[in-house]
Amino acid sequence: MLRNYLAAALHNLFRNGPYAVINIFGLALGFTAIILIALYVRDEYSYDRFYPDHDRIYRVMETVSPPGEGPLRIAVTASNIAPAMKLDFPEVEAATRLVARGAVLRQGNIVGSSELYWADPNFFRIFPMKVVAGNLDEALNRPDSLVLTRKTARRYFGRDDVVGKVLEMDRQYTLHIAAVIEDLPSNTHLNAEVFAPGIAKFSALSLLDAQDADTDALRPEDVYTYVRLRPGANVGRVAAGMKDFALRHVSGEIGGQPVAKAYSFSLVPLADIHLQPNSIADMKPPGDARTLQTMIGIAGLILFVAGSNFVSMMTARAAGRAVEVGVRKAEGASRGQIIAQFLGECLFYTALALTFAIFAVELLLPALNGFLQREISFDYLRDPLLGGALAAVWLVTGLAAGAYAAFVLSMFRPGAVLKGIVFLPGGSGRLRQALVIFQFGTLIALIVSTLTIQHQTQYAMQDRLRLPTEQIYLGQSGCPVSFTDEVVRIRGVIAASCASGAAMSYGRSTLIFDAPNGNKIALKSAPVGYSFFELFAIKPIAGRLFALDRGEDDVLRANPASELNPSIVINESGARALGYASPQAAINEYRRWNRVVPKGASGAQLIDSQSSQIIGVVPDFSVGSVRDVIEPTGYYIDPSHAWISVLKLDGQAIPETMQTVKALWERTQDSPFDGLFLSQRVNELYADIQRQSQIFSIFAGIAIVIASLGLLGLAVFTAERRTREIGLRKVMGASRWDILRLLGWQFAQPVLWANVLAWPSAYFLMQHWLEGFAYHVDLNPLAFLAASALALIIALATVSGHALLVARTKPVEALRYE
Amino acid sequence: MLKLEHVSKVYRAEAVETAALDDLSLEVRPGEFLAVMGPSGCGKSTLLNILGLIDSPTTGAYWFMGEEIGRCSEEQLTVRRRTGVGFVFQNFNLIDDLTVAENVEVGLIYRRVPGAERRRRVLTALEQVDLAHRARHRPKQLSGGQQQRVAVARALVSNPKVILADEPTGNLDTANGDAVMEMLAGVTQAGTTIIMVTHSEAHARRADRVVYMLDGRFVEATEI
Repeated sequence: MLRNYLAAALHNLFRNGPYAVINIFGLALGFTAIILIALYVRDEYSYDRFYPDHDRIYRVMETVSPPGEGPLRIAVTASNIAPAMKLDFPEVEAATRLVARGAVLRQGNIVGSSELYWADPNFFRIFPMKVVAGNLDEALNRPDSLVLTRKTARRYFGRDDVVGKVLEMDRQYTLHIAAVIEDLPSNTHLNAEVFAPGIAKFSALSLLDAQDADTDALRPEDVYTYVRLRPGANVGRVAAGMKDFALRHVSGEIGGQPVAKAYSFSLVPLADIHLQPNSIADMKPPGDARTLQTMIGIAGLILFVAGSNFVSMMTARAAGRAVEVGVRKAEGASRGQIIAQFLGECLFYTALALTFAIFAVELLLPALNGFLQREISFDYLRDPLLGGALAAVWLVTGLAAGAYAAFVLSMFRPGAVLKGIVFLPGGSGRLRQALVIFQFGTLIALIVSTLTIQHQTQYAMQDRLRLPTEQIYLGQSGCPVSFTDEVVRIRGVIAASCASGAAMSYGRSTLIFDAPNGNKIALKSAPVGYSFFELFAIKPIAGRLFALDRGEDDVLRANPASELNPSIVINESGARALGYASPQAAINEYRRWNRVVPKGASGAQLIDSQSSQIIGVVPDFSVGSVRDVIEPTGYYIDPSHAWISVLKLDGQAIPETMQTVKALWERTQDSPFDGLFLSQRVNELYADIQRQSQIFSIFAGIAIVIASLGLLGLAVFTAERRTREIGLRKVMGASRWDILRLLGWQFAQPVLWANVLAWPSAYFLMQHWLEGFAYHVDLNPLAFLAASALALIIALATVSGHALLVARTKPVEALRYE
Repeated sequence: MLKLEHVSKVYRAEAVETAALDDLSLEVRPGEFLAVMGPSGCGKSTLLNILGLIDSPTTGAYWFMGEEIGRCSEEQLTVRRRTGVGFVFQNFNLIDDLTVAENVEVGLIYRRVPGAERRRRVLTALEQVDLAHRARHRPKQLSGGQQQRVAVARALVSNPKVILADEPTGNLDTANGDAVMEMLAGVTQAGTTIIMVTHSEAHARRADRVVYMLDGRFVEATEI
């Protein structure tokens, strides 16, 4: 019996060649898309879950609310927080720390800088990692040891087994390789390439710990602090206990007020770090939970569109199998056997589609991994969850597709069907219309969304910035005067200046201004070099910019720890925040403000506020993401913090110019030359938006193909059903164009109705998404019209090919069809 | 008016060739009522399809209203059908999704007759077949006889020069069949040429001439 059913299924498949291709290809495409989305989403939610006991590990997060500003999320803390957590909370089993510090490593002629982290000795006990060579157990217990990732080991030594080999750090320190570990997987928030011992006296951790002796000073916040709770510990109790943790452990005052009042601490579960909102000092750009939810929604839509096409076509073909059902019943088949046969057929077709999809995913996954820079795997044979999900999709789709046809067909009486009297309940036609409307509504909404995202991306990356980003280079190895004075003499370099990380959106620090009423006002601190504004062609809207002949602008060059404050330029938002009615009103005003000054080898402290003059007001300007409001900002000359060399090129022969620049650097400096063009930096900042734009485009394209396939299948089916009618109309004198118009209008109608569904949905979806940006485009009515027009063109193009074939058929063949 | 000269029609399906018409010649006068009779499969419907320009001969020549149409494209045949030919089929061939009035109107739409004029002519045609009161009904709501009367109204509404009727009473009872024959006879008196395929001797006698076919050839012709 099964062989008979399989034969019927295969015969039906081959007999209906075009339908089979449309049906199964459309379903396979849908399955491929949702599998890829599911793998991506699963990878996003899988971050850091592979660490043993990850559910007991937390990162300590700070929330700081500077006066007059919204809360800032900060991923790092001061160095004393980890030991303080261990002391204050018996629930804390262990605490460990990481500090990021750039270092130049050298092995013979190979010099480079790597993502180096100074780590507490117990780091690998909380974060165990796969070892390639050596032993991790005591690796960080020696002050002269290093742990490298495999990629780093190969970079410096060309091989993995380098335990005992030596690397030189900063031309000062000699360190031995204690172990080599596997490269960190892509699904972790950590991005280290080298782990160095925090117990070394010269390590950043040790230097920070040494500052703890001065308990009144403001502590720098550079340390990633992790705690592991004891098994069964109540994390809620710890969270409650952290409410006044800041008052106990955050030192320093500003204007007589304890800084701790602006601080609060919280625990972020390790597995949640990746999907937290953006924090200052995140090791990697975080994921976006909203984007993931959107992707899940899109996957659901694609599954629905592809699945409903499949269901629609299976039910539409049902009437054509009526005679077969009549014969089988006449031969003694029970209703249950008929149902089993048709359900089995649908499961067979669905299995075929799923098989194609699995092959397609295997082929496409490397490209997806390259695009996302991930290492997502698709091991459905060994992963029970994945295998089970695939089986569930197969079963649900197959049974849903077959249910209507199976139950309706099995109801036919043999006598009626064999006489040719077959009546399918009219609901199936209305259902198909509704499905087409829904599919095209989805398609129109997706096109609007894609156009809007692309528009916002272009606005963010080009229109808003209004900078020639390909001609501005950011050197990240330092900004010494010996370099900047010489580099402007190179042909092709128009200007050079220096900037802090904060000025280029690499980090953040704060200036605290005194307000007349005794309150404090926080502005973002942005140390820069001379000519910074001129290089970016920013003119002051009031006052002047920094000038070489004005000594008061440059008081920090001779003494970075000076207690004098230099002249300051503020932006428009800063002028408003400081209470000025207009930018002009701020000029030549003297204001008292605090800043952080270096202390010791790597420490810092907040000095008492000193007065200096506001010399200029510039327009609000930022190279930061348009997700963030441009903050009130104060710019001042501070060579010790302006470590980025900013070069403006003339755009001619850029590679040759950069070669000469690099040669100059290597001649005059001791560290490797490293940096990127501003266009690359902007790409980094907007990588998530660009990726969203590309993903939306791809999946909108897939939805278009699937919806078009559904429409094509429906067009083929409808044209068949109307063959006799078309023949009659031709007999009555209908021309080819009359027939095309008839069929075209039949399919244009649901597309036009689909706009009623799509426009409000797309409007609310995109408005909500755009409101996540501080600066965004307005929704463009043309995008809606363009999407509707495109959907109509797709619908008409899809059906016109087949309609033309039908229209050219001789009337006699059409009349003879039945 | 219509002239066939040595017309043959051969159907090819894979390795099998069937000659539906074999070297036929025929002339039909304007206003003539011609009946075609013969056993099933003798080529009557094929002959009608060729005369009605919905099929083309394999060999031979066909003059339609003085024009040899052997080399005409499908679009050109459509134009000539639109202006000169009406059809009545054995199984009525009404469009189920349209109302009675809309079915009758279809041909007028393709003749680009303005809307008001169409409605007037549709009403007149339905009154002629005594079905004006069922104008908004769908074909499935009518009896067989009524459906065929609608089909006759559809054929007549555009005032064709030729009406081709393929067993128009084949699916009707005697009373309805007679009623349809009355309508056709009335049409021919107004000068329209009618060519009718029929199995009924009684209905064939209403014609001016009867031709008999066998195996794709004419075997006999009788003037009535």
